[in-house]
Amino acid sequence: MGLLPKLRTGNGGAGAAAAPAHANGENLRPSNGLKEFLGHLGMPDNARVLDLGPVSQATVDFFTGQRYRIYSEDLLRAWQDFLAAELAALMAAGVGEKKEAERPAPSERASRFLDAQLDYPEESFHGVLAWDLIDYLPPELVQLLVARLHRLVRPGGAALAIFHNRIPERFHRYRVLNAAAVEYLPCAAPVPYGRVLPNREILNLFSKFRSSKSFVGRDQIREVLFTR
Amino acid sequence: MAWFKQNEQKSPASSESQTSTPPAAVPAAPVQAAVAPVEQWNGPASPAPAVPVAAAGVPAVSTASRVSRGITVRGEISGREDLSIDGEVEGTLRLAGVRVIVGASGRVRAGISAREIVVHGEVRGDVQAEERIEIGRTGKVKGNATAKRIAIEDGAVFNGTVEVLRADMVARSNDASRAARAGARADARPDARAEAKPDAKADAKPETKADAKPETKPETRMGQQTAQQTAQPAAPAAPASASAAPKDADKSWRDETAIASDSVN
Repeated sequence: MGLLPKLRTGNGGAGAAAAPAHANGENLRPSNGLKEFLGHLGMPDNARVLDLGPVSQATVDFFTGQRYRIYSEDLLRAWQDFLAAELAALMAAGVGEKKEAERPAPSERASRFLDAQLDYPEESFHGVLAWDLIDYLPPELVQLLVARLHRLVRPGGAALAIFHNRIPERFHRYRVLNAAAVEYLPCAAPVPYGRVLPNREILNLFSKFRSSKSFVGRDQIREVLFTR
Repeated sequence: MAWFKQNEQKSPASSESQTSTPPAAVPAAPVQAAVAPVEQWNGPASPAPAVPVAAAGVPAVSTASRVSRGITVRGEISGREDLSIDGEVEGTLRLAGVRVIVGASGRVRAGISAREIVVHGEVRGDVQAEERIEIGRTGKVKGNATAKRIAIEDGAVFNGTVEVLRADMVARSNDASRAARAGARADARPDARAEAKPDAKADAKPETKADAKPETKPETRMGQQTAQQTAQPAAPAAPASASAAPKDADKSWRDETAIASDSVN
């Protein structure tokens, strides 16, 4: 594995052409994880890729240019909205913030959120991209999310996730510029950073996946490719 | 149809919600003008700078019908005029060949089918455009987007799948819809079948021309190019420089990167 798929000519050029329009050089980051991810997906027409980060034109251009079908679910923002809606509903029902007993259990809340947000049939996707995401979410949600991702990815499919080896200064939006580079743009985090996940914990979380391969950069960002 | 249609005969100062019975409309008009100046109508003779500008800098459609702020429409909207939505719509919008703009205050819970769809407000439903879909930075779309070109601004919220139509797919779907239309016309006028046939033929002529065009260059797929990208003068050179930069960067990256590979099972 790990062979970079030959970029499609013609249509595929649009994805590559997107790079200079968005990249300013400063925030360009080579991504070996992405390269491996794409190599793993191969080039089936209409391969389905689920992007769990904020939607971006460059990413959409890149994947559609490669004739992948891209699905976008901005999970962090959705989680923020979900919590806000839940709080509003509780307030409307007269349940105060302090009455924890009357609030739904964290795992129940997480389960409801995922049912609403990732309501896709099993084995729907050839690949999943989880940029700044997993270490921002609460543990009860992370466990259920990873289990859900395992169900959503087809056998032989892959999930690419990014983790931080130290507490990040900023939250970033990621844009795929080409098959081996992403642009990361600082922006406000929809939810506060959770915690740094040690490597062993990451592997345990994704233990249902068949294999993993990780790439750690000097910027202390760890890209991990999990294969189902 | 419950939404208001802009009347081209109105004076420049009149709002579309003003009807021939001023007493009913008078209280609403000043409020609308204050809240949403975009709703002022500039007549055909008005000078170019007076073209109203909708939220987020998008030029408002001067001849568009409009669902104004505060108006809620439930049901199916169809027609052949551009439509601007600043109110709420629930149901279905089928507006073949025209442009639909969902303004920043617009809320649509409906599937939209049009030539061009611009979203600055919120849409819950599938959006399908013959030409292009644009989601502005304040836009939120929950549903699937299908078009030849899709532009998504930073800050936009999009949950769903993106399908960029290829030229051959568009040609096929056009064929199917035209054939269906021709069939429907013929069925609708059974007593005039002799007339229906030439009518269908007349439709067929431009079809073949229109279809031939995309098929000659199916691989151009402008669908991936945003307005921003097409504006790039040195487009052919761009991919080369783009791929060169990561290559060089990749070299140094390899030195910096510690690669760990292990099997979980």
